[in-house]
Amino acid sequence: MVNHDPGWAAVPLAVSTRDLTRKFGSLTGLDKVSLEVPQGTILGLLGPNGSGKTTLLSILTGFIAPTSGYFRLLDEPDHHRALARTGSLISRPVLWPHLTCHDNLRCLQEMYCGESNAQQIEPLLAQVGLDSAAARRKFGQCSTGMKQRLGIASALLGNPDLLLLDEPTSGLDPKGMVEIRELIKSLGKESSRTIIMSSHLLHEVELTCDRYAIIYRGKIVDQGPVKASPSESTKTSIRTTDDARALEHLAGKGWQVKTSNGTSASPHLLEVSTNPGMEWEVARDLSEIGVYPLEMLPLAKENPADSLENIYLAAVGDTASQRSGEVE
Amino acid sequence: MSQFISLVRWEYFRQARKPSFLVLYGLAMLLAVLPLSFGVMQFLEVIPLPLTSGFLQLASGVLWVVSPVLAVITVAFVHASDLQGGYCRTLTAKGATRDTVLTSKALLTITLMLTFHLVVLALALVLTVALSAGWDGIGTDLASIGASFLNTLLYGAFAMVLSYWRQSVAFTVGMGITAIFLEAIAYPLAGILGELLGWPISSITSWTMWGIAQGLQGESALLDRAWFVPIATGYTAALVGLSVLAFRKFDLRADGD
Repeated sequence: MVNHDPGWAAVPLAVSTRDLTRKFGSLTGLDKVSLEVPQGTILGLLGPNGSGKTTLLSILTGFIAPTSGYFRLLDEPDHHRALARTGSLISRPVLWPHLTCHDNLRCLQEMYCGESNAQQIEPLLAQVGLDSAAARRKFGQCSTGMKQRLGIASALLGNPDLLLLDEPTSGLDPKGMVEIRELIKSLGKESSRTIIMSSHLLHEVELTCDRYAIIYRGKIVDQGPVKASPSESTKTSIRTTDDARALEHLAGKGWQVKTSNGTSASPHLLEVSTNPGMEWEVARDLSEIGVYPLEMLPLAKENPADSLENIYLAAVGDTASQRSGEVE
Repeated sequence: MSQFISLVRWEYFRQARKPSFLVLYGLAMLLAVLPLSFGVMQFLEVIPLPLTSGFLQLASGVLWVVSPVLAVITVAFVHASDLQGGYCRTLTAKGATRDTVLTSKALLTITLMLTFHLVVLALALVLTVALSAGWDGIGTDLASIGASFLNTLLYGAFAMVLSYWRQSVAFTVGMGITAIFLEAIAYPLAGILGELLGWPISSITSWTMWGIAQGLQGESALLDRAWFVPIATGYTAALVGLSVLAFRKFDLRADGD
């Protein structure tokens, strides 16, 4: 297993597992998973279908028992007491279809928290983007997205210290995905709350999480911090009024620039590496010497070796031919 | 303790909002009221058939027939449906132990069965007082109604085993009711066969659930009625214990997982 940041676990742990293994008959769902998640972390659990993400989260919530190994939540020896401080949404929201969204939350609130204050439910529903009309709708009649939002709301009941979310944006439209991502980020900032979210979407983990762990074939194969800034750069092809002067000037300004073969119609094309959306700065710099771009074309994106996508692909490899015998 | 009470209360809240649950109990009450109504008509000589028993005895007869079936279906509603749909995940997600969840569900089942018995008993008492029908054999009738409650718990516990074994509503209802009717047919047949062949079959069939029910009604050739109270209680406790052991073992999955 690769750990890109070996000294990161110096703060109290919200989740720790040691050699956690779960077998389903002859299949191994989890294979000696050892993971430490410090409090206050938003951890993205990445992995292909059937890699063991849901199995790991299901063990942490007590829905399934490990075959062997050890785990602890919130540094609490009593797992049930730890669960009282944990909110979870595993696989999909499982709420009672014949109750309204409001009644489902009210029922869970009293069962979970021993309190029945209906006034606390409305803000919670609003927090996940459900209005009062949705609150009166029966859960069984809700759309997939509404169910997912209610599932997240139920996970937030009791203001938990640890959130375990299994593909929380699954079934949401793009706007909903952004809203839930922002909600998760804001929840993570509150009072050192720890969030573990599994996802297939690298982009989602990059935008939401501050750490990642890649699970593949039941093993944690890589983990580390997510880069704070976008790690992608783009290349732009430029034809100018004077390519020779442009090359010299841009190189002098610190741009990564080189000539390319171009075409017979325009033999002196330049290639400039820029950050996404910053191509206009090249034109601004060229204007300083009276050279103007005649044509600017974006080229293929470059992914640095330490981008999450490259790390993931390196860890998981070509999985298409290796998926038989795996368990979700 | 507060979590436990809360679990029972909200268990009822969820069940009471199921239309099928209300239909079930409506139907059960109808089945209880119909014989009593017929008895009233007999007592008032509206129909030319004399009433040969008191209202309490009628109520007892109704409870012996209706309650076991009602218990099986109630257990399917309360236990099996949450297991099948994966709702036990939701119940245990915040740290409630599986034992607590099972106990709260069992307590609700007992409460519902007890309420049904008490309502039918109250109805019979009101009719007896209102029509001045007399109190002959009240002690025997009350004991029979009490024994019927024990018998109901026994069948409920049997349905619990079915629920926690297969986690299916259809399996619990199907197997539970089939067992009741199969026993109802097989028990007397086995008795006749034993008489004809001279085999001591009754010494075996007396220990089936139907045999225990017969014993609770004072119709066992082996033991006195009083002996069947601890026997029925022991059977019930053993079946509940089996359910607890089963529930501790399996993975909590959502329907379709």
